[in-house]
Amino acid sequence: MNASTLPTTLESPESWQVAGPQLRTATEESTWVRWLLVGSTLTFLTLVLFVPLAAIFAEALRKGWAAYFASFNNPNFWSAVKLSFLATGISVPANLIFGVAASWAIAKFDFRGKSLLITLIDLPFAVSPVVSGLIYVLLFGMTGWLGPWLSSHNIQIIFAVPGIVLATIFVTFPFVARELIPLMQEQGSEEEQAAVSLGANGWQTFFRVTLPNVKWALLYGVILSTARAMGEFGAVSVVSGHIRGKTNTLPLHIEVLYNEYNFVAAFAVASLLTLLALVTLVLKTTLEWRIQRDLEEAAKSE
Amino acid sequence: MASLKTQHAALANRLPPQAPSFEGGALNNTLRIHPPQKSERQQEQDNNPMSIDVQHISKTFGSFRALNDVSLKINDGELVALLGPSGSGKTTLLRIIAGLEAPDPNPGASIRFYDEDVSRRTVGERQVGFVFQHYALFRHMTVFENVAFGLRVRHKSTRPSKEEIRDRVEKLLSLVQLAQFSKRYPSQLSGGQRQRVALARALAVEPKVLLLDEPFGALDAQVRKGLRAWLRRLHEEIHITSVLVTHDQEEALEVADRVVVMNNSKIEQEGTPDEVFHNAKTQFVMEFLGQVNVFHGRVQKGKATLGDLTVDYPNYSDDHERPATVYMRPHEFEIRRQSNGKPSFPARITRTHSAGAVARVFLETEDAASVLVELPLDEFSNLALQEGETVHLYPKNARVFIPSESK
Repeated sequence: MNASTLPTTLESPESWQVAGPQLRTATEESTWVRWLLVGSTLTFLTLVLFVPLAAIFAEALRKGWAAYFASFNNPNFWSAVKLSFLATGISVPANLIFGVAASWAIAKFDFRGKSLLITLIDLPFAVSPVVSGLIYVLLFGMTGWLGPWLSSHNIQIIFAVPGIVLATIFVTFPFVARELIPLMQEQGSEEEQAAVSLGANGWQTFFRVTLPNVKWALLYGVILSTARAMGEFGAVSVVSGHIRGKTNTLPLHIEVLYNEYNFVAAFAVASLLTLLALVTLVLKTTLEWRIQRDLEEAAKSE
Repeated sequence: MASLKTQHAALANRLPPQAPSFEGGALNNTLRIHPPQKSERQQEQDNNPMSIDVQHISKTFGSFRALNDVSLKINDGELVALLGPSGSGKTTLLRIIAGLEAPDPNPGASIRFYDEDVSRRTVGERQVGFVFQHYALFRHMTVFENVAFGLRVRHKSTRPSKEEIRDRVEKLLSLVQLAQFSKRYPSQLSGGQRQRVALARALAVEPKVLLLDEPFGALDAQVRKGLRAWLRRLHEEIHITSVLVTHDQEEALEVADRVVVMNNSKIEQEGTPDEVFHNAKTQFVMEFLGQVNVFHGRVQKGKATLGDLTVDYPNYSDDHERPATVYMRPHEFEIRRQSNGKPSFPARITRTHSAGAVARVFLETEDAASVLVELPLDEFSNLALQEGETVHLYPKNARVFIPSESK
C-alpha cells in the first residue's frame, strides 16, 4: 500500500482544538466552569494572602524609609534579634541531631515501641503552642514540680532564656525527623549493608552513605525548623515573661510595639520576618524538587 | 593461606589482559574452556583446606524457620550455586555466611573461613565480597567512587595511596568492561552495567570469598544469559571462591561447579550439575530440576511396576506393596507406531510442536495422564507423527521414589 493513496482529507488534531470553545475534549470542563474555579481561587488568595502581605510593607513604609530604618535603631530590637538567633541557633542543631538519630533508628531498624516513638515525634504538631509553653511553666515554674528545687539552686528557667530555648526546641521538634523518615524508609538499608560489607565502620557508613543520600531532605527540615523557631510566638510568649531587652524574641517584640500603637516600628520588624518567610519559601520549593527526585530514584532502584 | 594471597595478588596486579567479553554475540564462539587451568585448579582443590565451612546452622525469624540445621562445605576456588524455590532458605544461608545475619545461637553452630572461626566477626571483618540482588550501589557516588569505596574506608595504616586506588579501580573497571563509564552515576546505567559495577566494587576489597545474592534476578532474559556466561569466564580467570544464590535452575546448572539444592530450610542434595540433574536423590530435586513426567505405580519385592512396565528398585525389598512415584524425563522416551514386544504403554498424541531445538510431543495415556516427550527434530520428521494417532511409548530410563509416609 502506497502512502500517497491514503486519504489526505483528515484534519489534524490541532485543527480540532482551534475550532472553538464549544468543541472541548471529553476530559475538559466547560469554559465558564474553568473561569469560575480559577477566578474564585485567585480572589480568595488575593484577599487572604496577597493583600495582608502587601499591607505589612505598606504599613511599615507609611512614614517613609527613614522612619522604617529608625525602627531598627533601638536596643530592645537588637536584644530581641539576639535572643531569636540564640534560641534558633540552639534549637535547630539540637533538633537536627535528634531528628537524624530518631529517623535513622526508625527507618533502618526494627525495635519495640517504634510506632510509639513516631507518635511522640508528632506530638508538638498536635498540641497547641500555648499548651506546650504551659507544660514548661508547670514543670519549671515557681509553683511547678521542679520550681522549688530550681530556685533553691538559683537556676531560673521560666521567664528566662533557657525556658525560651526549651519551648522553641519543643515546637520545632518534629520538622527534621518528619522529613527524613519517609525518604530513609524508601531508600532502605541495602546501601548501608553494602558499605559495612566493604569494611566501613558505623561512622563512615553514616557520613559517607546515609547522610549524603538524605542531604536535601535534611536541609529542608532544617529550613522549616529555622523558620518556625524564628517565628514561634505562642509557646515562647507563655514562658518568656515579656521582659523588655531581656526575654523578648522578635515576634514578642512586635507584639509589644503593636500594643503601644507604634505601628510603623511593629510592621517594620514584621516585614523582616516576612522577608525571612519569603526566602524560606523559595528555598523550600527548590528543595522539594530535589527531594522528589531522590524519592523517585529510590523507587526506581528497587 | 599462602595460595590465597597469591590468588589475590593475581587479581589485583595481573588482571587478565583480555577481560572476557560478555556481549551475547561474542559469546557463542569465544566461550573458551581452559583445560590446563582447570586441572591446575583441581590440584589446588585437593591441597587446600575448605574455603567455607558452615556447620549446624539454624535460623528462625519469629515463628518462621528459615534454616534447619544446615551444614555445607565449599572448596577453595569453587563456584557453588545455592538453588531453590523462594523461601527455601538459600538467601538466609548466604547472608549468614556473609555475616549480614546471625544464626540462631546453638552450641554446635560454626562458620569457618579457611579454618578460621569467623562466626563472631562482623561482615566487614570477614572480608567477603557481597553482591546484592538490587545491586545496592551508592546512588550519590560515581561508578569510580563506588568501586573505590571499600579501599577509601580502610584505616590509614592499610589504605593504599591515591594512585594505587586509582590504578586498582581502573583495572577492575576494565575487567568488568566499564572503564568508559567511570564518571557516570548508577542511575545512568542499565541493569546489567549496574550489576557489573556491584561486582567490581565487591572485588575491590580483595575478598576471600565472593557471595552473590540472585545476581541476575532483576535483569531481562537476554542480558542474564550473556552476563551468566561472562561471570563463569570471570571465575575461570580469577578463581575466587564464590557462592551464588539463584532460583533459576538453568543458571545454576550452567554456571556452577557444584549445585546445592535447597528446599524447606534444608539442603536436599549437593553435587556437580551432572550429579544433581541425572542422579536426583530426592523427589523434590527430581521435580525441581528439568522437566519430568510423573506416574503413579507400585513397588514390591525390589520391583516397581507401572502398567506393563517393571523397573528394578532394590531399595525396597519388602513384600508389602506400596505406592511409588515414577519419573521419566521427556527426552528419555522412544516413540514407535508398532509395538516391538518390549514393555511399553500406548498413548494418544494430543499436540505436537517443533519450533525449537527439539520437537515436543504432548500425549495422553489410556488412564488420562498427560505425557511430554521430546524428540530430536530429524527423528520427529522421520516419524511424521500426526495429532490424534495412538503410538507406543518406550521409556529408556525411569526413576522411582517412594513418597515418604509423613507427607
